[in-house]
Order: sequence, then structure tokens, then C-alpha cells
Amino acid sequence: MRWSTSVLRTPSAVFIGVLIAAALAAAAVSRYAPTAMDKTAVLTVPSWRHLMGTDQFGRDILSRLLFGARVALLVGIAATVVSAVFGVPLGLWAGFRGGPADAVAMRGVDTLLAIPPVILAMALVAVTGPGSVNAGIAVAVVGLPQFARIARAGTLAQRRMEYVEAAVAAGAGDAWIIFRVIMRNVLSPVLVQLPIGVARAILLEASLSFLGLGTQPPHPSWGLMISESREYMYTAPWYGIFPGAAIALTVLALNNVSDHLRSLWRV
Amino acid sequence: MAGGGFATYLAHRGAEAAVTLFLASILVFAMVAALPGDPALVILGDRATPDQLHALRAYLGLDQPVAVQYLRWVGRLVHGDLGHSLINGLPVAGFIARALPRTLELSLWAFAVVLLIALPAGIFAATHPRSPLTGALRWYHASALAVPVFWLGVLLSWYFGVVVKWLPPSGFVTLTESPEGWARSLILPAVTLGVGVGSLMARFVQASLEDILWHDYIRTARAKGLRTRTVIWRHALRNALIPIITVLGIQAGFFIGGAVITEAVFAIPGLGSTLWRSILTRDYLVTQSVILVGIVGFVLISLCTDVLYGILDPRIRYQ
Repeated sequence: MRWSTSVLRTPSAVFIGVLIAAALAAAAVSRYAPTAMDKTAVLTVPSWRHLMGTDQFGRDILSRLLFGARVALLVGIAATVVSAVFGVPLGLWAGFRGGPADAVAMRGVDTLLAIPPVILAMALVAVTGPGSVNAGIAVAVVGLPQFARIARAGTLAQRRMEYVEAAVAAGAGDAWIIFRVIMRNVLSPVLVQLPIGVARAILLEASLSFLGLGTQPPHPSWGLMISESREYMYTAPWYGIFPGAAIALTVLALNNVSDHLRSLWRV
Repeated sequence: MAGGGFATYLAHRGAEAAVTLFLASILVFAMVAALPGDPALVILGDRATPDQLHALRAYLGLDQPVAVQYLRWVGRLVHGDLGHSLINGLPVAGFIARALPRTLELSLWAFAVVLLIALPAGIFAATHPRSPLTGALRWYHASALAVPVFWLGVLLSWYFGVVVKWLPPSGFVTLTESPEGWARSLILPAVTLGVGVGSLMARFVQASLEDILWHDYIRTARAKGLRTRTVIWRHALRNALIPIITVLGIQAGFFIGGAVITEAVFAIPGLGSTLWRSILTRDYLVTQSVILVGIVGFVLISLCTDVLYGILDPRIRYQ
């Protein structure tokens, strides 16, 4: 697996980098607090004072968008990392052991895959209750089977290779073989999946928040902003357009990064 | 011989689907059984009278071992008893029966949109690899897949429903009330749901056709002077359809999720909005039943696509 800095120079990667920086520095960059209301400036058009206009409470939309980026990226990245941290070892282990262990683990994974993602996430939130954290947990559970499947497929291809048999013959333990010998050779498809996973997680979190099951008001979340903007679309269309564009551009950029890695590593 | 192979294939896939359904049903059952504390109290809330609590505990069989509770639940499902809504006391099976056709109607319309996008775009891109339009289509598909379903719905409903007023911004008219109103009320939701899946499918149509256009039989068909259109529609597309159908089965989950969100955006009284409303009002038994219906639907679609795959491509039956 060859790492190349060419990925970092693509417009998509630059966009993601700027977005992460803006989210981290949201407090310093934005001119208004995301929940600060201003009754004298309700639903104003974009202007120099409010670059993206204001919402129904006179809150600055750009500031809410920047703080919303924190929620999107935090939930997206954290949920995907959790999916990978649990899913990848499960797939490696199932693929390496084979037999009944593999059959049981993969039945479980297939059962999760047999539930449409949005429905699985909604079911989990129905039990645990709405909120950013519970939505994040639901998103992580939804993403897990994909990582397990990818890691297992890679392991199955590597398991019969001579270098693995050599390690077995040399008396290495299962854990050593799985994590030190096999894992590095199945890592590239997993890494390609990571940006896609984050993109899907961001979309799912936004969908849950749009439905009122994720981030709760008054906290800023892109999905929630779109849902709140609906009543004012006629008088203030920009209110709903900016957060949607933010989601679409972020997801597009993440998918592009993944495509770039895929062609670079020929996964 | 071939019949025997196909029967085995069918039996194998049927058994797999049955196991998946069984495991998924345990998860769905656990949704209510695993509510923290006393599920009856969580479901009915603090204002429930002791009698109501007692009745629900008896109904759910909470004094019995979990395995018995599960079996009783499955037994009730088999008899069509999905419980009662805690909000209005109506039988859940009744509202599912009323909501299901709305969801199916939306899905059919959306599926038409998917085909209208995927076939022309996929065929054009596969047959004109160097055209600038093919490059533009690549960007279009990438963007269509990045746009959240609910945002597209909000934008379409705003523009076509409120700004230019060509179509109703939301709501649903039944076919029996007014066929024209029915069609008009489903156009925007169908486009909302179909655009993303359409781009996904277009990519597969393209990839699958590109693979096939290299084959000798296509060259033969061309060499004997058949028109390009005939070669594509009669020879290439027929074989390209096989992988496309498989993909359709896999993407059905994405489609069902999109339908839930689309129904919520356009206030279509289907299963998706029933599910959504039940979660917001904590009507757990309704949530549980609708989720089960969604899973059964998805498993059946996957099974059907696998069977269709077996019929279209006899080689698969022997693998």
C-alpha cells in the first residue's frame, strides 16, 4: 500500500481540510454565538452583517452552519471510527477462523444488513430516545456490518497465502497473525471505505435530525436547520439552501476522496 | 437435471431468508422487551392506571420467561394481531393495511423515475465513452448521490409547489378520489425518491454494459449489420440486466429508507410516516410492527431478486 500526498492536493481533500479547520475554530471564526437571538434582525437576507442571513429567531445562519459542522463531523467521524474499531476485528477474526465462528458472526452481520439503514437507525433511536449521542450510536451500529464484511473478504483472500501459513508454522498465536500479519494487508479497502463511511454517517445523522430524532433544538445541526427552515422557505429560501448545500458538498468531497484512494491503490 | 438444481438453489435461498427473518424478528422483539425498567410503565407513561398497566403486562406476558414472551408475540403476529396503538387504541394491523398501499404507490412511481434516469443515462454513457456529456453525467451522478433526500424534497416542494405552483407542495390524494390529483400528488415525491437511486442504477447499467460490449457476440451482431439500437436493446441489455437486478435487490434498503424520509417530507400517509409519527409519540407497539413489516418487505425483495437472478442466469444455480 503506497501512500501518496497527491490525495491531499485534490480540491475535495482541501475542502474537507478547510471544513475541519472551520469547525474546530468555529468559536473564533464566527461573529455571533450560534444560539444568540436578535429580534431586530429576523429572517434577514444575506448581507455584510449576516453573510448567510438570519433565521426565524434572528440567529446568524453562517454561525449556526459552522457550529453545525462540528456536530456533523464529530458524529460522522466518531461513529465511523467506532464502526471500524468493532467491525474490522470482527471481520478479521471471522475470516481467519472460518467454520462455525465465521458462520455465526456473518449471520449476525447479515441480519443487521437485512434491515434498511434508515429503519435500523430509527428503531435504535426509538428505544434509546432522541439526541445527538444516541443518534451517533445508532449511526455507528448501522455502519459496522460494512466494515466487518470488507475485512472478512480481505482476510479470506489472504488466509491461504504462504506468508500466513509460514506464520502459523512458526507457532504464532491467532491474535498475532490476525493483527500483525494479516491486518496490514487488508487495510487498504478498509481505508477506502472510511471516507464513504463518514459521508453516509453525516447523511444519516442529518436525516435523523431532520426527522426530529437526532440533535435537538436549540443546538445547531444541518439536518435540523433544514427542518426548521421549511416553514419559512417562501419568504427566506436561503435559510434552507445553505445547510443543504453544506451537507451535499461535504458528502460529495468525502466520496471523491474515497474514489481517489480507490484508483490510487487499485482496490 | 436443471430443474433439480434450481429447486436446490431455491430451497437454499429460502432457508437463508428464513434464518435472517428469524434473527431479525428477535431484534425487533427485543426493541420492546429491552426497554429499561418495566416496559409496560415505559410504554404507557406515568399517568397510566394500575389496571391499564396490569392489562398491558398480561398482554405482553411480562410475567413469563423471555422465550415464552417471544413465542407468544410470534403467535399473535401469525394470527395477524399486531397489537393496538397506545395513542388512539386502534388495531395496528388496520393502519398498516391502510398505509401500505400508499407506500407501494409511491415506490412504483419512484421506480419509474429510477428507470427513466438509469436506462438512458447508463446506455448513453456506455456507448459514448468519449462524449463530453458522459463526463457531465459522471458529475451529475456524484452530485445526485451527495444530495440528502429530505433536502431535495424540501427544495422541490418549495419550488414547484410554492414558487411556480405547478404541483401540490405536499399532501396526498387517493386514486379513487381523483386520478389526476393522485398522479399530481405523487410526482414530486417520486422524483425526490428516484433521483438518488436513479444515479446509483445508472452507474451500474453503464458498468455492466461496458463489460458486455467487448464480447464477441456483440461484435458479431454489429458485423452482420444490425443497427446499434438493436444490438444494445436486444443483445447487450438483456445480459447486462442480470447484474443490474442483483444491485436492485441490494439497493432496496436504500430505497426503503428514502421512502420513509420522502413520506415524512410530503406528508404521504404511508408506512414511513406511520413509523415516524409512532417514534415521535412513543407508540412503541406501532413502531415495532412497522419496522417488522419493513424488514419482511426488504428480505422478500432480496429473495425475489435472487430467484430472478437464478432464472435469468442458470449458471448461478450450481454455485
